[in-house]
Amino acid sequence: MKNHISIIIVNYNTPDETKDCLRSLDNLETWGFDYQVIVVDNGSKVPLKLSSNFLRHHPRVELITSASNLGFTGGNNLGIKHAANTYDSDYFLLLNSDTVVSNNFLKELYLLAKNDPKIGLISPKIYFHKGYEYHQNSYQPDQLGQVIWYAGGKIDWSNLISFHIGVDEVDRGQFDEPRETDFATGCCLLITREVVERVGTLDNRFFLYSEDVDYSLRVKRAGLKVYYCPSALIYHKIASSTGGVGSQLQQYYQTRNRLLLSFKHGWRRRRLTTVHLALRLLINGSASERKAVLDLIKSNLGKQSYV
Amino acid sequence: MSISAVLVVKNEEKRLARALKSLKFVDEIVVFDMLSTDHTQAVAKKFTDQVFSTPEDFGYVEPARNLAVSKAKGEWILVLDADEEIPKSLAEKIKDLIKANDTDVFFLPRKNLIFNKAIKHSGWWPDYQARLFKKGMVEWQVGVHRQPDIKGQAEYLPAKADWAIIHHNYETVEDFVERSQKYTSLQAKERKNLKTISTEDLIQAFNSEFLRRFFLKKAYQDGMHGLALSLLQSNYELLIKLKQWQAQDFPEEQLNNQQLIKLLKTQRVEFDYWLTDLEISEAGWGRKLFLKLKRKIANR
Repeated sequence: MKNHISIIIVNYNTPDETKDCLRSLDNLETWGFDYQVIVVDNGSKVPLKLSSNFLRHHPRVELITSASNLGFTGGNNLGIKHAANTYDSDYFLLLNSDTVVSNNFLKELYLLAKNDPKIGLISPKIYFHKGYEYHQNSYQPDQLGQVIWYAGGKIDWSNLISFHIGVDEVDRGQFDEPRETDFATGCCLLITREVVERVGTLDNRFFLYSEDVDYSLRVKRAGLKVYYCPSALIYHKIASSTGGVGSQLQQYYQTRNRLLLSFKHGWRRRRLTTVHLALRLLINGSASERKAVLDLIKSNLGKQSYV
Repeated sequence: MSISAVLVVKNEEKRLARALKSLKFVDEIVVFDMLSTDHTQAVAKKFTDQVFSTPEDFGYVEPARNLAVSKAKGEWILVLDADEEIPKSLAEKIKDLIKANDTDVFFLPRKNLIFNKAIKHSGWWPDYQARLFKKGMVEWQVGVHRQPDIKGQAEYLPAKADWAIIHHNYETVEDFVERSQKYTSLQAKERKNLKTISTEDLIQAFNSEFLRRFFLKKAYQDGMHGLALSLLQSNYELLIKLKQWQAQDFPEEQLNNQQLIKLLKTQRVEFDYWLTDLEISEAGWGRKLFLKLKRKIANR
């Protein structure tokens, strides 16, 4: 009996990127599994339309629509629920709409998961899509398209920062060992069914950003492993659905959720660090950072209208 | 609208007649034989004169399916395996379906009969298969277990027992064990080997698969058959691990009693988790709350 993997893509105002992504998912290599692609249109301002001609050529694709924007968390949770009910999925793969995948990535993730039943979450190696690198001028022309965006996650608890291992480095094979990692990224995340049954889905209070770090920590607390799989590779066109890097919206959610995260998972001493950081942001922070701290204190979580 | 049924077979003299008998409603039957050494061809010729031999034994059916489809003359193709049959109710439905103009490919549900019982849980149902399509719209790819390439508008026929292909999947325990042998050897090679196989890996390989099949995917709802299958499938995972261990030349590991106790205790925690889950589903609301709390504390 074949296993079933449901790929879930949340689309929010990025129809062109989403379609590129879907095209790259057309003929994946498989080994003992089936897959289906579920696109969740997350209340986009112009609703996502996939023409019957498009669906004709991509028969694995199914579109479901949410009337309002449920955030990254809510959109994915809706997709997971739909997939579990319709396909009785063994695995769920959350995939950002602004990615393009390589042909064997899903097979590589699947084989790693199958090889160790204690694994709960896996993320692949992720490059910046060619031309989307942060510091394009720092590379030789032939190095573009091989710059790492994610090669594992690291949490620095004393400074309450989580970051991607290898980011901005050219891939010279320095991250080619599969290994356990502090957190898997929501950009591309294979989730086993056991995780969904035992740990649940993404925490909706986050709405956007850090939900993946929170999820990874919850999965570890349940005794399961979080893994980085370098033999699976995808490409990321960064942050096109949130107004780009450093936008106010991004700053707001990142600040608020960073604090929420350490309140949720930190030890007593870390919570002190958190309070200290919160105070500093209140006094010296930008408008969006101040609002973030205040909202956290008033526990106005989930989606908040900013700007 | 005409339908051609297409079968690719090898050494199926015992089961082929049952499949072909169920195909009386089609306009043409094409049988492609992959160098059988038994009387498969003779059986086939009783039902159709469209019997061909493949030039070589591909080892698996997918590449031969494309060849077989290319010989069919019908506008619609129905692909069947020798261990399957089409019940009368599905035959009627198929005649209706092909009148539809806007669908090119139909995914049909498949009822898996294992040890004489239709298995309904643990992912065995509806087990959709792209088997009814306009000629040219489905193409199989080279490679074991690869998915067929589908063009055009696809539709899933609702999962009703009357509309399902009947699949005589595993008729005997020997069937299951023989197929396990073949596929576990392949999969042992294919899967990533991170480190030396340990005592824990062996226990995990079996237990995790068992818990996943039996509890998580609710195989227990299929009664003793569900239990038997969960055990066999766990054994399948164990065989893969053992064959990987073998590829490493059987490295030794001797845990001391303390380590062993610790290892087995984690297994007990996992088992308790799912057992409590089953208990919760049976309990009244008061007991439910109590069990959930208890489990939450135990998992800390």
